[in-house]
Amino acid sequence: MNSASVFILVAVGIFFALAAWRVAKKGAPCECGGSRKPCGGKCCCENGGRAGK
Amino acid sequence: MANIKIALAGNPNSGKTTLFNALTGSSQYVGNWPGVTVEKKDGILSGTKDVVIQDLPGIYSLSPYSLEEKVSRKFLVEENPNAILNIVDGTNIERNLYLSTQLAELGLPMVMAVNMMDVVKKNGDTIDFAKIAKALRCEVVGISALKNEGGLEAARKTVEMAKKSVVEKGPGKQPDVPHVFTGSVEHAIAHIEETIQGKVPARSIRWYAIKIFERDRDVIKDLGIGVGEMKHLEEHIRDCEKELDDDAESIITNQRYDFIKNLMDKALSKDECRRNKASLSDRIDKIVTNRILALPIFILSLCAMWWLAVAEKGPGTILTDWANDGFLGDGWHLPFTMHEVDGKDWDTAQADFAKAEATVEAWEAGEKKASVEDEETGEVSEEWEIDEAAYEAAKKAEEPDPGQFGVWVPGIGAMIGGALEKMGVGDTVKSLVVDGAWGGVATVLGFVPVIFVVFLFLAFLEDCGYMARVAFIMDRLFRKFGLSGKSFIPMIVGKGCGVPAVMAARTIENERDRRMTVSLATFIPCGAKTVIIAMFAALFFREQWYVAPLMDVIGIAIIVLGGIALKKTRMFAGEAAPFVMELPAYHMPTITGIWRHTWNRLKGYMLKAGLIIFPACVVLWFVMHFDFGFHLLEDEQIDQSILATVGGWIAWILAPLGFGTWQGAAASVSAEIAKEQATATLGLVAANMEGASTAAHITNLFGSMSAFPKLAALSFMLFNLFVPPCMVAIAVTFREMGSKAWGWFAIGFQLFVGYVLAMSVYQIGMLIAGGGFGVWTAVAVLVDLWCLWMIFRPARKEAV
Amino acid sequence: MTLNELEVGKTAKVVRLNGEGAVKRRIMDMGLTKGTEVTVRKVAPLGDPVELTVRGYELSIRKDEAAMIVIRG
Repeated sequence: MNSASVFILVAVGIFFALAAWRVAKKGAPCECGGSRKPCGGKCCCENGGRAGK
Repeated sequence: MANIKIALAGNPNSGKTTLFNALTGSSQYVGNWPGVTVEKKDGILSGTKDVVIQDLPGIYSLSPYSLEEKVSRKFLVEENPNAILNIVDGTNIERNLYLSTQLAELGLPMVMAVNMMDVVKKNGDTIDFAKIAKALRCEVVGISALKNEGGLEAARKTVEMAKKSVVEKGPGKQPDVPHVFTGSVEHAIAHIEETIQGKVPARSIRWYAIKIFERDRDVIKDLGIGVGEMKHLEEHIRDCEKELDDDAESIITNQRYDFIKNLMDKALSKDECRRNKASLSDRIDKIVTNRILALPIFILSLCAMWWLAVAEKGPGTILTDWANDGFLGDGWHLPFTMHEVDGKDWDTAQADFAKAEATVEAWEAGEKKASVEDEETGEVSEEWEIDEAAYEAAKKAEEPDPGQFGVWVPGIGAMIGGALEKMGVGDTVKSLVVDGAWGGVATVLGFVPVIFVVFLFLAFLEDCGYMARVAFIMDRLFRKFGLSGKSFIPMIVGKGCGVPAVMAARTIENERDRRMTVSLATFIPCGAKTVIIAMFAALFFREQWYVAPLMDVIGIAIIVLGGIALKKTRMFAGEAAPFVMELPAYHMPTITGIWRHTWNRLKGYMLKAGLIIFPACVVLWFVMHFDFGFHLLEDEQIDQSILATVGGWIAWILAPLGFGTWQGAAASVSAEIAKEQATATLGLVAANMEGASTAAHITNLFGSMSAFPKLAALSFMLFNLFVPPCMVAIAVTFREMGSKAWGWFAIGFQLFVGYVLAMSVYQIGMLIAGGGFGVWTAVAVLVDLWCLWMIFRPARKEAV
Repeated sequence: MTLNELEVGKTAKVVRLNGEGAVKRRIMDMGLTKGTEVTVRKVAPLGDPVELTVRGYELSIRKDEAAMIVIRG
């Protein structure tokens, strides 16, 4: 493998590790659109609150 | 100085959440009240460090009946908040004050924030705050949480009052609390207060006394009032009941409302003219919730949404095609800059060159005929005979340069590929990046336009108030199987994401109904599943755009029919839960509001693509290109790869469904990471197929899996849409069920439904299409009959 | 007569609430008390629930809950 390939391979590896670390630390991103911070780490999702009373 | 605790209390729909968000911003913490599945929210008041705003659940009263009320009461009497900030809906003030009188009786310093003053003013009504303040012995201010006016001042006033009371607190001083009852009742309450002197904090003695008068069992138990004492108090209570010819609870409720009515006669003046005009909301409702029109209107709005999103000539498809082929793929021309070269336009020039290439390829392979395929469907679109002359002419053809036909913007895919080539990266690594990582992510991102349209539509419907009406409409249908319209709200939420849908089932008090709702909530296609629908609509059902909304309809049908069947089993049978619901008025959603909701969801979707889809595709690429001995494989050897082997172990399970290959298995299993991953995985595993684009690859993949590719595609879609949702949602299901057994029940039920549905459609579809009758056709028919029996059998008689 | 028998568009006064426990309390909490005026706004497309106007706002309850409310037209 030439140096360019190695470089790209390593770059992919770094992105992979970053993604894995971020998911491990903060949990999977909130698909529903809310953010996690105000909800103490869980997906609060605006609708979760609105769907309640 | 210790923390100041402010309790934020008010009716549901009073704007409490908006106010809470405005007061606490991003410092909120959301958890659960201990021991119950009621959400607990608190946060720090902005601009302070030590003032905690405790958001209490939206409640109508402090009765001992519902979880929300119990939790709120407990907080107010046991946790010693320093003050109460009571938010009241100014457009609905009578009913809101019902709670206020109860809060005031607790004896805590209180500020009443009358919200929606902007609407009150617009209606031409006036509220005399001073009169209310005097009657309820609290401070009253007007705010408009929506317009962000007055909320913070109200909170600061509350803090001031809290601080003052901390300083002035004397031992056992009874504060000024409103007396809302009449002679004999007040008399009885006074007696009760004497009896419980010393057992309760002095400031709340009146509240406790009233609760005892109402025979509130929780309070009586907590205070340890003996049977003897209670008998004595009973005499007073019964005297009142006899005199007023009603039971104690009703007496208290009635008198509260009488008091409020008198107060409102003095403090509230309504613009009579306005009141008599039928409001716009009513006029809209006349049509939208009309007995005959309501359901068709609902289905029509679903169809409208999907038409915009996936119909062949619709905006969604146009944008998606641009995104997939142009923006993320090879490239695109800036609109309005295209022109012809040599009498040909870009599409024709490309088509001619493709034909030339095909001619060369075919001649060199010794064929006598050449053909080209349609990029999307993979079907042969043109065939012609070739000879040596044609071959020589074709060899000379030059690839048209897109830049000559207009301003050409290279697509991201092409740019990445080009950059890697320039760098001299080897083919394998190039494949990892272009086919694996980027290819997978691009497949998912390419559907952003479809997601955007769907989310935009949903945001509009929610914000304007239509969704509440839908729950109202569906209630009777739901009541047939013993659930209330309250169970429908999670379904609406589920259109965005299954996670909050499952969590929304918390508002259902009845445990059995809640469990049932949790099991059924994820059958409505969520945002991620919408991507699957989008892809298959584009690939296989372009002309049949109604297949897309059909998925929603099937989702609702499964919920209704599944619910009916479950309610007939011993596990779930029972009475319908009470259903008392408030309908908010329609209002024109603000553009910022809709945009914010839509953008939030889009952001989440794209973030997910980067954090989940990307790593998943990298992993998939590796297990597709290596065998168990970790040898790198050539493209043709893909069947020896780890993925193919492992996929093969379970592919046979999917055989009756029409996609029993390792590719089908890999895609379906990968969907548990994230439902949209199925589309990315399909793109990856189909890379070896014939065709010039991912779309063509996938079309040909299904062609290779079954003699009835469209049917197999439909079956694949049904399977992945209706089996258990992604792992995150499954985890939430287990959590909300509270027990592993129930969690597994939900999962098992969903697996059964998805599998049987896909199998039935494929097998019976095959039968109709002439594929013959086989073992599995028989199995499908038998299982379907059993399901129909489960749905339509007579309900069990309730054991008394 | 009971509230579920009241025609759409008509107004009546609540005379008494039958029933007991949580459902009755909830109905009262929402403002449907003795002497209150209630108007039937509309009945849902499938016949149930019923939308009412009570104390100036809209409330929807089931037909069988409405059957617990005794009224005088």
